[in-house]
Amino acid sequence: MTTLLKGLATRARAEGLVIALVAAGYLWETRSIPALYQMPGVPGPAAFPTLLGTLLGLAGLWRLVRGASAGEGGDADAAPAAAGATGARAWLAAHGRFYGLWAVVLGFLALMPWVGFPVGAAVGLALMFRLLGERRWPVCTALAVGAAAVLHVAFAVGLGVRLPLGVLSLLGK
Amino acid sequence: MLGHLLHGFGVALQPLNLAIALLGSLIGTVIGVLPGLGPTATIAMLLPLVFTMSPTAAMIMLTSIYYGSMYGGSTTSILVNIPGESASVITTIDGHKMAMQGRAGPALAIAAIGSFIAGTLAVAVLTVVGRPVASLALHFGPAEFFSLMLFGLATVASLAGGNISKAVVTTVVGLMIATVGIDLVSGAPRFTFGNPFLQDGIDFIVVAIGVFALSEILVTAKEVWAGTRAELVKAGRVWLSWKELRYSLPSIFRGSFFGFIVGMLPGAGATLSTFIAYNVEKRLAKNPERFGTGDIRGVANPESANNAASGASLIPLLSLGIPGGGATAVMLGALMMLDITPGPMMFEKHGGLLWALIASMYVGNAILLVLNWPLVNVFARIMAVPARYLMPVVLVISTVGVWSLSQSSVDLLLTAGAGVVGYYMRRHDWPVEPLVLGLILGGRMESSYRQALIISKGSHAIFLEKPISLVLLFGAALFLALPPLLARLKRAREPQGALAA
Repeated sequence: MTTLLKGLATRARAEGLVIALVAAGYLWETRSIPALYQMPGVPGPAAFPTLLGTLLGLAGLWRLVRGASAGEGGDADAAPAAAGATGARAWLAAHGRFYGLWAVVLGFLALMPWVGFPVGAAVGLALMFRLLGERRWPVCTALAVGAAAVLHVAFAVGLGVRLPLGVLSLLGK
Repeated sequence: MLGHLLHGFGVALQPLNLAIALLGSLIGTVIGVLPGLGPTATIAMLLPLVFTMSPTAAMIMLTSIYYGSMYGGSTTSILVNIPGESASVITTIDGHKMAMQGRAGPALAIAAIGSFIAGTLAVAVLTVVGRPVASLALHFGPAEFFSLMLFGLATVASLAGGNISKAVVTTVVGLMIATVGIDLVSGAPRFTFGNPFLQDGIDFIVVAIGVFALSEILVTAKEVWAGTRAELVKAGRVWLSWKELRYSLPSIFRGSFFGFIVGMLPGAGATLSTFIAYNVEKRLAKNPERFGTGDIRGVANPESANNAASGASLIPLLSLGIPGGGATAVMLGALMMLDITPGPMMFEKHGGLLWALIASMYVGNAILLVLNWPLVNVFARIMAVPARYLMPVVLVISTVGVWSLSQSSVDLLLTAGAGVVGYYMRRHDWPVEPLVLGLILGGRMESSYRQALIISKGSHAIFLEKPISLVLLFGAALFLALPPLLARLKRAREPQGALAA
């Protein structure tokens, strides 16, 4: 029974389920599109999204039922992930840098508008340099501050892009 | 006509205009090479520069910036696997593979040569048949446009080979993202969740930077940690060999042909032409399996198509007043600000300016080739900087590209989301290109679909009744159905072959 369940619960089927759920949510949201200036007998603003949502839903269900098609590979990465999981410390040693880099990249994108470009870029770059293998903090910091300053001047002054100053704008007050 | 053209050359070759063309090409290339800043953003940023110039000088400057930034966009596709603009998405497939194999120099060089040949051919055709061809483009109504877009999407989906079902899913997701924002036909807000920043829709750059740039830094990081990669691309040969050039020439000519044909259709733009040209090239090739593995034809062909389409897109812009894409739309705005209204009377009313512009396009193509030859060397040297320093800087520049669109934190969050999804897609063999093309074409495709149905009073038969539309739909079905059928046939034959052996 467990083997049967394991055989059914493949990544392809999980993807199919997610796709079908996304399609269902999209179709649900389509209902709230107001039918402004709707001409009789002609598709309105919800018609094309409904068509797309239905197509995606059918594709998701197909993948959910059928699993991976013949041209695809299997769950190639499932085994290494399971093999590496022998406690929190081991997991951190194996995957810490990877998820740390993700956190820095996503954190930079999420916080840059508030922290400001110069500070956000300098901190983000220093952390990324470090995570990518530069072990010397002074080198990381100097390179990051220099690069952030050059990029800020090039874009804000040279090209007129309105970059957020964030916390630096408080210094001027 | 020859007299007009010679007069145009007389104007374009004046020292000041020549200097303007050189400056425009250089600025366009330098800004266009920054990930996220494509031709539209580059022209929009530099628009204030041209208002102090005479109309002729302003148009020479704008077209030079346009050409330069188009080439710059290809450079990022080849070197860092991040398309600088939508027409360079397809170049990432073979261009970046070539760079990874230590052939960044030949890839950049063939992009420059292909662009030069295609651009010159396009301008030559534009000179001779520009006006009659412009009226032919008017035969493309909404039904034909919808079918053309569907054909384009089908060709891209078919590039996924055995993973057609995955490509169809990602194409539909791209089209779905394109439906976010205010509906242009009725004005109804769709999928905006009350957020005003989503009312303008989701820009291609927001998603492209996420799925290409963010995922690239994670993929690079894994290889850096594993010790399999120190630089972003391998150092190698900078110059193109004669053999490579000879091998690429037929692809350049075919790319130029398809680029011109698709590019001159108002609203189709250069992007669609690159996807169609690449696919046709792959189908015609004796060894199609080489495409996608770093084949130089996979760079030469779409780069030529892209440049031929850029030249061709000026036909509907100048003679009909219809822009072929985002960059030409900004150029249309600039022309109107200079009190020049493009349209059927453009050749009569502003003939002098127009011929000077056409001549300056010839000159601009030559300038770009001369300018880009030494730049290949410069870019190759930049790529020698260790990946652990270069990749984070590329990511920060890409983020500025996204921020420059509308200074919106929502755009950055969407890029982050696209990055997570893009990484998953790359890791598990979900094709990324159809998603991006779906997003680029989605808006125009839906407008054409609904306009066609308004004309036919709701009858879908209109797509089958129009001959051009019917042929395109048949082609789309063929492109989607053939690869899986051929794969099934091959699988069925294999055991027999094995038994026979």
